[in-house]
Amino acid sequence: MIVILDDTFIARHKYSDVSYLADEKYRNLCMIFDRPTKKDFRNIVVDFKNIHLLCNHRSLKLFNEDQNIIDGKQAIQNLFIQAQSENIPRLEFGRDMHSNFKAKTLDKDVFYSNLKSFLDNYIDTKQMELKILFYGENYAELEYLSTIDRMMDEINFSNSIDFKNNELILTGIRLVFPDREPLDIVDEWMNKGLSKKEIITIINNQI
Amino acid sequence: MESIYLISDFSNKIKRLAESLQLPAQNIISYQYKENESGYHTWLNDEFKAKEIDKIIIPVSISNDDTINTIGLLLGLHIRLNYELSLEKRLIPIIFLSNFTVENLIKVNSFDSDNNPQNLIFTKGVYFSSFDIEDIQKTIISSTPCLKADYYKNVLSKLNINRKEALGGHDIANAWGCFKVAQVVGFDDRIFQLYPIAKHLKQLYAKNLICKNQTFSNEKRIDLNPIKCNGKKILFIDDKADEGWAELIKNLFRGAGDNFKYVDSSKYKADDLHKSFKDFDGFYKECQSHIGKDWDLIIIDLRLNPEKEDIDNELTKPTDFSGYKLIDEFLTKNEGYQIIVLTASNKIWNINAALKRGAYSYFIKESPEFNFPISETKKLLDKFKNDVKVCFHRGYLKQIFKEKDDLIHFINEMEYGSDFLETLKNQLNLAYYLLSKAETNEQFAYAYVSLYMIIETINNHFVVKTTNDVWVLNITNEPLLDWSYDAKAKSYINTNTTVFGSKPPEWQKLAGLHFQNWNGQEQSFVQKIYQLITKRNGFIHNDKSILDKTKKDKNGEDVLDNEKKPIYLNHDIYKPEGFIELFKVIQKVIGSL
Repeated sequence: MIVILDDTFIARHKYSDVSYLADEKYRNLCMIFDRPTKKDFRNIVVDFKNIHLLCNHRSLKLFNEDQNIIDGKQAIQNLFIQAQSENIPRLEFGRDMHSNFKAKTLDKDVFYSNLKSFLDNYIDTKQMELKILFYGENYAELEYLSTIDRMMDEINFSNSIDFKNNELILTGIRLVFPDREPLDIVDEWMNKGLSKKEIITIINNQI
Repeated sequence: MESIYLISDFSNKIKRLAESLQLPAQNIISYQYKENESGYHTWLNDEFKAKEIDKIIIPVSISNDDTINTIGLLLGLHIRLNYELSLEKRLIPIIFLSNFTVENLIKVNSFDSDNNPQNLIFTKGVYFSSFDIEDIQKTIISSTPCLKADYYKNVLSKLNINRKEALGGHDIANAWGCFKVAQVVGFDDRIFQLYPIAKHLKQLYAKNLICKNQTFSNEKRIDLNPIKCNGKKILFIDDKADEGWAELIKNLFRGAGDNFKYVDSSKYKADDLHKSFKDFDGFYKECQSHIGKDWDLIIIDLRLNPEKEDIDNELTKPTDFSGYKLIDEFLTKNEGYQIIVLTASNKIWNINAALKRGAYSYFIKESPEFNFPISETKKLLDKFKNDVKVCFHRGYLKQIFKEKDDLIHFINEMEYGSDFLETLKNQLNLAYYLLSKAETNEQFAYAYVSLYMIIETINNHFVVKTTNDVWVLNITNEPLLDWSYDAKAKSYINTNTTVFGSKPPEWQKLAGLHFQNWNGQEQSFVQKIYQLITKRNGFIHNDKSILDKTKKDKNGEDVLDNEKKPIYLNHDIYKPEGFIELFKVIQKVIGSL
């Protein structure tokens, strides 16, 4: 189960279509607390073993039973510490937050615009692919390009005689020229005496 | 020797690149991850102010994590749109590095649709190179800055930066509006220091608008005159008081000193980034605690609880706004309070309900969408200053309203016929209403005439003609005597003769009531009534010999005022002073009933 703690969720439908979250398919998978209370926090902690991801609004507020805001700094902090000790991954979203996969922070709009794809993928594969939340459903394409980018970095900054032994280069070649042997490609570049700049051009033309 | 700088993410390739380009260590700017745009603005601003940077090299993809990105382009935007830097510094050549060709870069990335950083690539002064050292060196040599003349046409107009939908329009409009006014009055340096203001103005969206409009041009500081408000009591109520507005408005009214008060909204807000209310009810109650106090001017924001009242695409009835409700409560206590309403320019139509309710005027918080030139902001401020002046001038309304209400309470205790008493109250309310709406000479005179009707109503009730044509004072049934003014004796006298026949003048009836019925002794009071009634007659009958009567000296010559003009004795009927003078007399008359 995924838990979303977002005290701004009520206004969210103005910016993104989140009506699908009420469907049974998603309702049981994704719990949203738009007015979280200490009692909710206790229930979350009790249910930790079923929680696979905790997502929270950056400036989350805590409410009492009358739905009034109370000072919740410490309670919120405690919940996060407990989640961390249970190795439950947590990500934080906020208005105008710069998305950073390593830091697990992302822009609130990006979070909600990618949430459905993330949940669909989770339902289909039973795997939590956080990159979908950050980069969208085409995250694989981005990874593909990242691999090619790393290959081009290696070509630029390595000695060409080492290309055949450079796994990053060979992995990239496999992606760009899927029908050919990577070592043959390297041989071809060497035999033709191509400069690094020319090799990069060939790769760019092939993408 | 040009100073070439490189933004480095400390990846191996950038380290090797720096070595290959033989860039000195001090020319490497370490990339700093920032949580938001404001952070990037501040960081780059500090770097550019501390260094003499002639050209800068930025990798398109900064090693934020293992995935390629276009953060470098965003950094480029922050440099080009940094209004805190001189144009020379803003327009240096930017050389972007990528393994991908521009075509592939555009094709393979999905760019932030609000900032559209990819547009920067196609603007003047921006260059693109692969990581090939020779390529980079050639690009460095051939790159030239964008010319100042090209900045608008070939840079700013090619960018496409929109407000992020989730960024509260209310928040940014508040920061923007506050800053623009601060610029006009030369208080912008201080306002820009405030985090709630700066964080919005450092967004690319705001930066783009500021640069487009040359908001930081030398046009600023064009109105350094404070508002004249010595001794005036001013109350300021705004949920954004703690986010720049209180400081700004206090500065505008600095002449009021400690008499300027505001409700400190920060006390009721959560300690979070968005400064949302944790105790709006507490805030509202503090605002209510000022109702009934003696304010010369009250400035109230229309939407005090934006989280509930300023949601995009959701219509809230203007009368449901908390600011409107507060205005209503102030005016219910005293219609004479002078209120100026603050509102955002993108929702100006909401103001009508507040004006209809009795607020005097409004002051627009500029929204960035319109990006008015600063000269327009100056016009808005001029209008505000003029409105404030008028509000201060209308200060008499508050006192008149209070005294009118006291009179009505007094009338409610009377035991005369209800029709008579209702008429008195209606006439008092009507006269006040006309006074409160009066702007022209004629309108003030109409209010005066309306107030005068109370004298006739009282006379008609208490001085009646009997069936045998004799005028009597109906409480005692005593005949009305023939009161007249003896100029030599400077007093009112009578010949002990009963008035009968045609209707006597109103002043004579009132003289009878005063001297005969109420046991009054004040000659001057009756004389005053005579003058005030004569003044009314002069207006109603357009009798210039009365209206334009001037003050004379002992030689019969006009006495002149400081401007060498005659002093017209009855022209105050065109001003609130005439009404106030008559009102005092009416108070005394009603008090005698």
